[in-house]
Amino acid sequence: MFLFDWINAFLNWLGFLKNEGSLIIVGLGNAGKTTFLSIISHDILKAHMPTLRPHQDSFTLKNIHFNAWDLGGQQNLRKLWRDYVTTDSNDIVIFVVDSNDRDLLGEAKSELHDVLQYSGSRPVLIIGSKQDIKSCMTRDELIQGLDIGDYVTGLTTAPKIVDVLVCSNVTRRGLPQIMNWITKCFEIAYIK
Amino acid sequence: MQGQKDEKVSQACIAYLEDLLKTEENKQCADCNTKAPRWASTNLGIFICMKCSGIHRSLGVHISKVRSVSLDKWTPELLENMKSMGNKKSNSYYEECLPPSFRKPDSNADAYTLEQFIRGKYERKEFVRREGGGGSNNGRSAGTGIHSLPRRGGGFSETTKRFEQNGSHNNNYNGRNEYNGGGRNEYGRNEYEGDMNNGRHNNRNEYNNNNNNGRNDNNHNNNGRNEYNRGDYGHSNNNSGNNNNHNNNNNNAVRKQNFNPNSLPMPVSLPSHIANPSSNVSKNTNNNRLLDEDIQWHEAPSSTSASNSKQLVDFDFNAPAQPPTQPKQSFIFDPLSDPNNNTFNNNNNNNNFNGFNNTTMPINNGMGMNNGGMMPMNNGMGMNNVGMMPTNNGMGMNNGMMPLNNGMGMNNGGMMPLNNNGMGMNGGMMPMNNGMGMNNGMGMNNSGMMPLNNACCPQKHGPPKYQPPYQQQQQYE
Repeated sequence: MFLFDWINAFLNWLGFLKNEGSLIIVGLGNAGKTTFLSIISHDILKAHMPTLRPHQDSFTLKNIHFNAWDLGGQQNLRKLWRDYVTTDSNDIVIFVVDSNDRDLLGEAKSELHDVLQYSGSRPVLIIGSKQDIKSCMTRDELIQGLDIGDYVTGLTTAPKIVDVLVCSNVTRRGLPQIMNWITKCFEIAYIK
Repeated sequence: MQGQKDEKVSQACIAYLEDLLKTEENKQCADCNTKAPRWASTNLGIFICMKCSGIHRSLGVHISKVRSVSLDKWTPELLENMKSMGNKKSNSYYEECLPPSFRKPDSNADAYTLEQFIRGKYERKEFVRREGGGGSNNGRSAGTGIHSLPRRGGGFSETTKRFEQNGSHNNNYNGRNEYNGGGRNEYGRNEYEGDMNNGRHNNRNEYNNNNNNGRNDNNHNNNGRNEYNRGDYGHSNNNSGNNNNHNNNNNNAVRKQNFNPNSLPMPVSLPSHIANPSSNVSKNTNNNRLLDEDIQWHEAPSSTSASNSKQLVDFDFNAPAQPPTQPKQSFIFDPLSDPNNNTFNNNNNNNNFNGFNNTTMPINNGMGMNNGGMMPMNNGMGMNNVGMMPTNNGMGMNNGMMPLNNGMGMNNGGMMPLNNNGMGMNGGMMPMNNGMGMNNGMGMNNSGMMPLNNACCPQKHGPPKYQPPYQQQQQYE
């Protein structure tokens, strides 16, 4: 159906089509998941209580309507991630890492590799948050510490979009790049 | 295999933690005394409630590492830390210098008070009795090294006192709002807080500072209104000015955006560690929007209220008075509407006034309706007035305005002698005022604001002078 695809692409280029996507935001506890979501969807910055049950929020980027799921990051809540990540929809997995917490980086690494395994072909974005604190890890350090160099450079056997971006939810630095990445990635992966 | 072993160790640790939670000292949250805390700060060695854990998490992992007692994995090292500290020991160190009159926030405290207290306690260490700040004392070293530290004799730090002010201000905050008389104190204090927080708590700062701002706006609006109306009705314009005051004050809550607390001059010289906190975070936090303005990606669903409020904000104080527009004929009576809709009421009121000047009675009736939209009780009053005095257009105006002036009972009474248009009118008005005992009470409060709003009362025989905001500030210092 070449014609149909062409019309679709044209409408999409005009911005008439609304695409539905979903973001699954996971990460260890106190990584900044809820803060990230509340800033990109409502522009509200506050100290959130720990997320004990998943909560949903939605926002629109360009012509893509995103349903974002914010999942709790405590040890016993992590088993929920798999249920959300492996549902059959246009979802992008976002893994948030606290780039100051070097002690928990090993734990984050093992969890991240689990997520990378069971997320299949879905794109995964790793966000290093809290870049406003001086002693934070840079993007390169995060790639090294999380041991995802192969994924980021595309050297894995199965094609998979994986990237690391850093941001600060407090100063908002890096958030526009993340938004750009999400929209571009969605277009590449699901709209064609 | 390793995972199973870890799981068992973690469960044993949690069982021990449950025992720790049953001791008397750990039955309350270390910060707000809420019963049955379920979260713990592993490096501080304290048990905290869920509300406080959210704030502890926002401090950063270099100050407090929060874990859930039941939801997280525990290791023997972390457990050892918890065993060696506990709430009592930790508080004896972190609250050693707490003023005796200080009331710790309890479980009913609002988030702002709680956050200020916790940040002062752990981040700035205001209640720790020792010289110098910062340094690396995590929970463990703090527990052992307290008494070897040099003492600072007596007296509370500057920030401690300020925090007390903060607390009292918070008490005002809920009930106060528009009509609080203590304009001067608030002005100073609001600004003070804005600087102290350095914009870290955006919501509060904006709110406070906008109170000040709103006041200036009011002056501006009064000017415009009075100038426009002078030719028609002389001094009765003060009424209309007061109307605008009333409405704008209501709208204060809406006008939260786009205000930079740092743009106001600092009335009090702050200690350097408060004025310039060591973290580079707080300096940039006043940006409400994302840094990259070019990318219009953001269509947040909640942005509608923000755009409404932007229309209201008029920071250009030197702007000429806005010419009157045609009165809107789409009158919506909705007293139950949320405060964001006040923008509509406000516009209506401005237009209504013109309608009074230029048009006939039936429209005035309509005006009374709209004005009363904010105070449904007064609808009937406005209608009755117009009905009683069908011929006096000029008085009809005042009557129509009465519902608006409810907030300013004082002004209504004060204006009556000036309006020599007809004594019959005044007589007709008095019963109305009597009927509004509630509003009289409000008038008292407003009288406290009189000196602030120079447009209100003092200049009875001319349009009020406009005072730029910086001159007002000088008065208050």
